[in-house]
Amino acid sequence: MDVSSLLAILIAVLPLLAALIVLTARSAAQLERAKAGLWPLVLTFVGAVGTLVLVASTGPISLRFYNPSSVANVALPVGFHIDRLSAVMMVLIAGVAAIIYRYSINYMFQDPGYRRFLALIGVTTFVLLCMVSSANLVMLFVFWQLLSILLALLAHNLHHPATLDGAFKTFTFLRLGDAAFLGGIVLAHSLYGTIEFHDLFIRAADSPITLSPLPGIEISGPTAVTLLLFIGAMTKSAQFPLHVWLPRSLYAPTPVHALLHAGIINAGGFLMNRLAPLYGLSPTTLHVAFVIGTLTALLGASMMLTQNDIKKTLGFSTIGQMGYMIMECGLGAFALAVFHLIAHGLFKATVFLNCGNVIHKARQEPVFPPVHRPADEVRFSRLAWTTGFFTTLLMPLIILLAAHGVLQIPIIHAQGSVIFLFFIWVTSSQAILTLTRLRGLPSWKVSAAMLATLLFVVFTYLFAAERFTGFLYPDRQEVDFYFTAAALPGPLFDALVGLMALFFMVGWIYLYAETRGQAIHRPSWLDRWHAPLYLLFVNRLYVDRVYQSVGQAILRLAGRLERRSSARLS
Amino acid sequence: MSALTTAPFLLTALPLVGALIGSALWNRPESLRVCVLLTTMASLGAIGLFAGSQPTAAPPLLVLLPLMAFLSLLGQPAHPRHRSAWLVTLLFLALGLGTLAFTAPVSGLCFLGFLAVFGLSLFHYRRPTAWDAWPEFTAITLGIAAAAVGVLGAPPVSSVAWITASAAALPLIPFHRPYIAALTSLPGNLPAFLALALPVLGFQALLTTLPHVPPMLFDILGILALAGSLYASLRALARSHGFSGVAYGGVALFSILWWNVAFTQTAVSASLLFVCAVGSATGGLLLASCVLRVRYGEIGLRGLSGLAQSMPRFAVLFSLLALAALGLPPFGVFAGFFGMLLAPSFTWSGGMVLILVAWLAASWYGFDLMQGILFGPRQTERRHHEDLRDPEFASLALVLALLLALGLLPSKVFDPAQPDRTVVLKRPAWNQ
Repeated sequence: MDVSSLLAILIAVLPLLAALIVLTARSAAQLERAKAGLWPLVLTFVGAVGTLVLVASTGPISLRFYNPSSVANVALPVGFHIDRLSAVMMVLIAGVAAIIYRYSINYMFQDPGYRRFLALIGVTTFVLLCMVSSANLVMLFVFWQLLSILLALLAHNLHHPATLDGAFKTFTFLRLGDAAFLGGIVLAHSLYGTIEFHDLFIRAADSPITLSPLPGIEISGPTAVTLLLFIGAMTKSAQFPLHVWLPRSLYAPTPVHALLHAGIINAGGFLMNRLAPLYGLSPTTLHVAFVIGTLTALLGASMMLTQNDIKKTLGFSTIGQMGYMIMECGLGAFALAVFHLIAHGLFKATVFLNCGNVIHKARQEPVFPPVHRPADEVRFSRLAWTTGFFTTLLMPLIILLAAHGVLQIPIIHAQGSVIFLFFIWVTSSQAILTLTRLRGLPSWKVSAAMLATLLFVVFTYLFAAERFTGFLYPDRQEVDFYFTAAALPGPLFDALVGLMALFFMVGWIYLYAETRGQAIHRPSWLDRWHAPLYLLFVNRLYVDRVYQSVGQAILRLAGRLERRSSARLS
Repeated sequence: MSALTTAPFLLTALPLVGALIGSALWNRPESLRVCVLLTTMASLGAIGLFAGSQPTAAPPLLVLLPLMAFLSLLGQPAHPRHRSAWLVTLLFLALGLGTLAFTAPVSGLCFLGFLAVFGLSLFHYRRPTAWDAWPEFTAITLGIAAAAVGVLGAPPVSSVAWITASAAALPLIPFHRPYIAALTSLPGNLPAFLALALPVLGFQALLTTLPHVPPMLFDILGILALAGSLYASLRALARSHGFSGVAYGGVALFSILWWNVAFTQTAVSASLLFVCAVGSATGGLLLASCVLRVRYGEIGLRGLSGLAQSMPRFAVLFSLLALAALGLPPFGVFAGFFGMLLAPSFTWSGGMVLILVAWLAASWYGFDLMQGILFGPRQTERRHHEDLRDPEFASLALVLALLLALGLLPSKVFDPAQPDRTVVLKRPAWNQ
């Protein structure tokens, strides 16, 4: 066994050591042990960084403790395959886990479940690391399932009924995804006879199989497999309509959210990246992923706007971001999805870890009843609106030309890149819009600084994303293959982009006119729909209630069966 | 006389001798318990001694029966009320080992004897008002009669008869009631022991007759299994009492096995692993339920909550057992289930969707059971009871270790004669 293999095993095992150190502590010495448990996690992070460097320079690390050609021990084929994707994920997971563990040492101190909680963080880190470095589909699934139960356990509070209810729903929903994932693996094995990633991709590409699940309906082998696996990804990454477990788990301690939003929830995006060659064979699944991702992004963001609880707001924000991530996968921009999940993970971990601090400070500060304040006078600022107009309409054009010409990114031909650009546009104009509404642009200096910053951020992001794509998928042809596979029909794509652009521009015009005090015709039905729509989103589209009704109906049926059986016998 | 011929006799005789000695100790419950425990250990030792003599059944099955008997007895309090159950356990063990160790027709006779003793036990331990229990008596009577026909008759009649007898032991709807009754109404350690012994022997009977089963019967079995998995899952969801919930959960999981056997028309080594693991997990949960019954009486599990605080050792083991039973890795139930579905003989079919639903339902009622008992508000009106005593802890921990071993050991252990097979690309029939 060489050094790289030993390193791979060590990285996976060290978090378990942290869990063991803290779990075996006596109550009197639990703080010291908790601090001692941090070191294995720090070492894991250092090891993960070392592995990333090693993998980037010498190629993937592969280690198998089973015979891939045998089915004798197929139920638990333990092995590691660490390529660039795995190594990047390992660095993210190990880094975030070490920070969260350090934060929890103080944050959870004096909690009755202190040791259990810290140990569970160690075990969860171990499971996540093993999952992302799995050598085959079955091992990935084994750790995928363990993640489901760990998530439910982490969200447990022994006495709080709402938390218990949330943990139960979390587990049940995640198991729904697990069942679909299991179905996908069984189907893949049934069709292609292997659980090894590499062999699976080759066989799926080489043997075109068409299935007919119902008369008149035909579906390709890769589509059937990837659709089932995608349901698994949907549940873990909280995609609409399987997202309801995430807001439900918000009673869990704050560090759990940081770990969940920065690490665990990214599992769906990782799964799609790991199986990208298989997804690339199925344009249908990619289109489904695009639709689901877009819906989740739109609905998640809309529901976020109507929530009145900081944790729920952040939860729905994560749902929206996960929607973007899945949408990027659906567009064939797999590497961008990883880039996105890293950026979002780091951002959300920071926000959540700071969340407790904010709440703590708010509790310490006296709060007085709000005094009546006159509403701010709406003033029109030509400078602000010029900046907004420039950002909204001209900046995308500059980016498009500059990225294509200066950065040599073939952005015009790839729909994924166009969509990416489109969302840069939407996000930046949204930021400007918010600032405009807050009247945050009082001078030309601020306007200029704002534009320069935006341009800098956008270009850096674009440049970094492009370089990251090259790092994760060095073969440019592979990247192009995914983009081509995910391409929507041209007219449909143009219509979608055009429609969304129109939507945003109409929004701008409306706000412009309103701020200037100009009368603008607004259809009456728009006003009529305002309150019902708000109600709909504030109640999270009643999806929770639909699931609750289905669950209750099943339980009623089961109860009726039980009573009928008892009555017959008595 | 060679070891090959003496081994089955010795394995069958040992528990019978233990039962005889035990009956002499009837008035000393503690000594009787020790005697029964020693007998089960002696049976284990004898199996180890004759390990190389190639008995008819796979070695894990032979080992598991006395092991489960030992574990189920270990945590039992030495109460006079349990004496008869201990002796009946040895009788079951003798007949069970005879079924596994002998070849036909003695093996069949032992199985017939096992079912007969089982039927008599159900009748003997029936509740005073339980004349409404006619479905289980009808089913077990049918099972005994079918086993008798199986011993005396010839294929295909004997095959159908053996399948019926198997269904009474390895529960398949509509013959599942004796299994439910065994797990819910028998006293002492018997439910936990029979949770493993019945399915293992039923599976052994199924294995012997499988090559002669008419193809049409497989279709019927497949439909019954699919319906059974959903029906049992619903019953488990509606559990009004923990024991019946666990029992119906077992029926749902064994229905999955029946479906797999019927669909593939063969039984792979992973099926054996699955039977052993589900039996052990169910037995472990029933042992845990016994622990609660000893402390809280017949109050029903819905009346309990918040035990994680007052019984932390119990909480840890019970939660792990529940997770094993609902099919999470790295325990044996998952390994067996997954192994069956990834066997080369298995191809995807529409029935798989229903199987996945049953699998998902197991997570629902399994997690609900665990959460309901361990978490939630603590029952302050109930008297505080001590956590697990050492023998109880040992028995539950060993069941857990067994489940872990079943999950981690390669399924090759269950099928040592089988060489490694390379997976061959096989397209399902509905593939165009």
